[in-house]
Amino acid sequence: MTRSFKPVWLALTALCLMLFIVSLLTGPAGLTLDLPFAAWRGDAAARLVLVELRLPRALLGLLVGSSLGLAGAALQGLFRNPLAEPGVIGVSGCAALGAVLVFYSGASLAMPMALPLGGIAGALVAIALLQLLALRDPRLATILLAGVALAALAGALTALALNLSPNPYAVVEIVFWLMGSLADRSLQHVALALPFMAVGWVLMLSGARSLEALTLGEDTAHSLGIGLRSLRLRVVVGAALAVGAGVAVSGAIGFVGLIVPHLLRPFFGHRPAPLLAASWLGGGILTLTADIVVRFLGGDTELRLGVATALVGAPFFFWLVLRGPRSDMRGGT
Amino acid sequence: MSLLAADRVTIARGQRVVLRDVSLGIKAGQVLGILGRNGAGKTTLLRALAGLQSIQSGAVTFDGTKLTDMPPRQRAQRIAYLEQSGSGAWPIASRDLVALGRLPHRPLYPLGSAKLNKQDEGAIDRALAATDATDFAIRSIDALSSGERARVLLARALAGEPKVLLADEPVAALDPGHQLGVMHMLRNQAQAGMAVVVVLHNLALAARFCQRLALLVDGALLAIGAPQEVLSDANLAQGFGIAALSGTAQGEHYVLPWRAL
Amino acid sequence: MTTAASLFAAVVILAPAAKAEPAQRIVSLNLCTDELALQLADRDKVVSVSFLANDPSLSTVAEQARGIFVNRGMLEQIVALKPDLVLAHRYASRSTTDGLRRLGYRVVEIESPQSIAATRQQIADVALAMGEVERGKALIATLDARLAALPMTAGRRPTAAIYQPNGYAFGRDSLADAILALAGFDNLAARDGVAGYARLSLESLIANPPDILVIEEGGGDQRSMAQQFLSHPALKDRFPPQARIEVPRRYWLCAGLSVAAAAELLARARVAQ
Repeated sequence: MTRSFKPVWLALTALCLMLFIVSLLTGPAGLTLDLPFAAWRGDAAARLVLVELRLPRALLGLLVGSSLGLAGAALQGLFRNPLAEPGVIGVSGCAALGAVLVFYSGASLAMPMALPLGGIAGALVAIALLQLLALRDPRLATILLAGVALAALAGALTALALNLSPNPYAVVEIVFWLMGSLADRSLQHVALALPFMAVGWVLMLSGARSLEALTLGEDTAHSLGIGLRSLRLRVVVGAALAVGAGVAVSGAIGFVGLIVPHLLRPFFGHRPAPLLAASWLGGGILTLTADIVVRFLGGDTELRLGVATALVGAPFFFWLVLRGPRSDMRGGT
Repeated sequence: MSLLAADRVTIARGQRVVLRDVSLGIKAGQVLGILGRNGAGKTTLLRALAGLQSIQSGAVTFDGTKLTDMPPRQRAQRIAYLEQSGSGAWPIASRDLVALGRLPHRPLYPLGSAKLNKQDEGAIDRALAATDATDFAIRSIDALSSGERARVLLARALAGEPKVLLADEPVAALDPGHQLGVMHMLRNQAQAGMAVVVVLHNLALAARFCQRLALLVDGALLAIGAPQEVLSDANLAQGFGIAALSGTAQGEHYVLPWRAL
Repeated sequence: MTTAASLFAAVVILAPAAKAEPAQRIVSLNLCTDELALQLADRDKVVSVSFLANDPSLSTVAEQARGIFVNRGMLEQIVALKPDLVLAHRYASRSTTDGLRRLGYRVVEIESPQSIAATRQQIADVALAMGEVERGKALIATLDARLAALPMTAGRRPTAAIYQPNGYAFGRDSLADAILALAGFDNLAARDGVAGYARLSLESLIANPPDILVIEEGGGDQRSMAQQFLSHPALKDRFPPQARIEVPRRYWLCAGLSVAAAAELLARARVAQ
């Protein structure tokens, strides 16, 4: 704590801002550097493209990515193991299921707010189930396996729901929900998700110090005056709000919450507290980068964002597991 | 006058009664050792004294106030608990781990900087000095030997400047040299005014370093008092099923388990 | 696909099945063959139509199809109906039609014509296969008459683009392209390089907009991301109601009289503006 992390914070913030701007400048055919100037000069079409098409995409890339990064760090802190992240342990999958049920039943047409609420409900069910299981059997392997089973179940139920929908487009749209995408989103989507995400962020960040105390185990944390029940509730609800709302508007983008905390941990002395806010920034950075890359790769059908993160994240996860029990894989007991 | 007292504490887990009507008092400036077989209820008693355990009947009080009536932060500032299996989940620097002991004194929701103030730094420095761990404070916790790690964990407990220190088998996995070192440190803390309670398996260490001993058998307090009285032949037979050799060497009492009965 | 190629393909497919006597028990497996069957044959000769025929948002013969037994394209179902002619689409229910042929049933397949000429040829070929050549000629004549009655274009042709769910547009060498031309529009998607039926990015459409946006009629089942895509605020902003023409979905699905209906609707709207 005598070390200052200021240079790292500055670098992360600068990188995040820079990528946000690059995302605004990236279109389906690559960089369009003259777009902001054209918009400023009064070109109505340019302004429309910038504000209604580029801005929502960049914003969601930042906000959804940040939510995933932060949730990953918070869940890893709570479960005390570095393999936990919303995608792997089935939280994103259940959020997608909740959103799908709301969307294809037409409920979100009647009440747009129902969409993020559906995602949040799905995420809450998943995390609550895993927490209850962790209280009974805190072994690392049990939680991960349960999460994987939950993810598989959610995926199957999502496929079923889409298959049963009478709408002819529904079945194909499973790709969006299970792989995620930021294409063709609108400011309405941002407005729907942001309030819930923001509350989720505040809840999770408020647990920073408590998560740090949890490093030495539950009894020690309790003896240091930490309210464990309150902490669990805040992380569970906070992660559900942020991830649930994000998935509802962008589908399930995986592995961001796994990669970002892992990469940033060494820069913060492996301490859970500063890692939370850092992972918020890092999640935004990673997602914005991936979204810029998929647009540069071009083509008629855009590569799904979730495919890009999975192509990097899945091998990374594999490597983490194969590396075996190491100093930072001790996990919870 | 007892600083921390258990008053007729009974704890049950389902049908099983783990602690039966246990009463004892802990005074400042003393080391109290809690002994007993595996499953006798030692850890449960310690956790109850720390306020971590739900109690079915009776109460634990600190300076007259029931622990259940005390706000958690206040309790944390006064009572430090040293867990048995102290392996951190993340390989943080030793000094950062010791700094965790300052949490009861620091605001939980920092609005501004998360840095430690002078008071905190001072307490951490003193704790590291008391446990002779200053040299490796920069190193990551999992780059330390078991002896070094035990001292850092003890430093964490001391950093909070508690009035009472409750330690659950702090020397269990250490080699003899480190065992002696840690027990000396605990005795030094007691001599400086702290109330120290240690759960121990090692009768020799218990007899030598504790001013008082409490012997638990099947959840009930069999004997409490000076080591010579508590570790009588009758109590050793009933409590552990052993016979021991005992005596005095260099002004300190020793007990050596000799024969299983 | 060019006119010649589609003519060739139609002839190749239908040649072995050409017959003279009218079919008595017609089973149709596809929405487009439902329409042709009901327009070319007596209603009592059509034993079964596809399950989409009854949906008025999709089918132009929903009224006539009412009461006719509905099939879901399953082999056993079709065999039980004892058809003497089965009409299907070449690229749908492949395994069913292969199975029917193996069992000795007469199967006639249609494709998706990409020009007016190919549309006429398809009507003629199906009529021939059904044994209703005269009715086929009459249908073609009706189609031609309606197309000839379309208003002429005076002056500059306004640009238009047909935007479908998920951002798909009809480009050059497509039937929709021909319909736009007949209605007096210039297909912007074709000019932008879209060929056939392919994706046109929302950004391209906004940055380089046509005078008129042709989209599906609203209402009906909107419960999909593909359809809700068309409600994007950017589209609503760029193309207010006076810059849009809504065309019922069923006019784009099959080639037949709906070609004339679509062209008439578009031409009327153009003249009104």
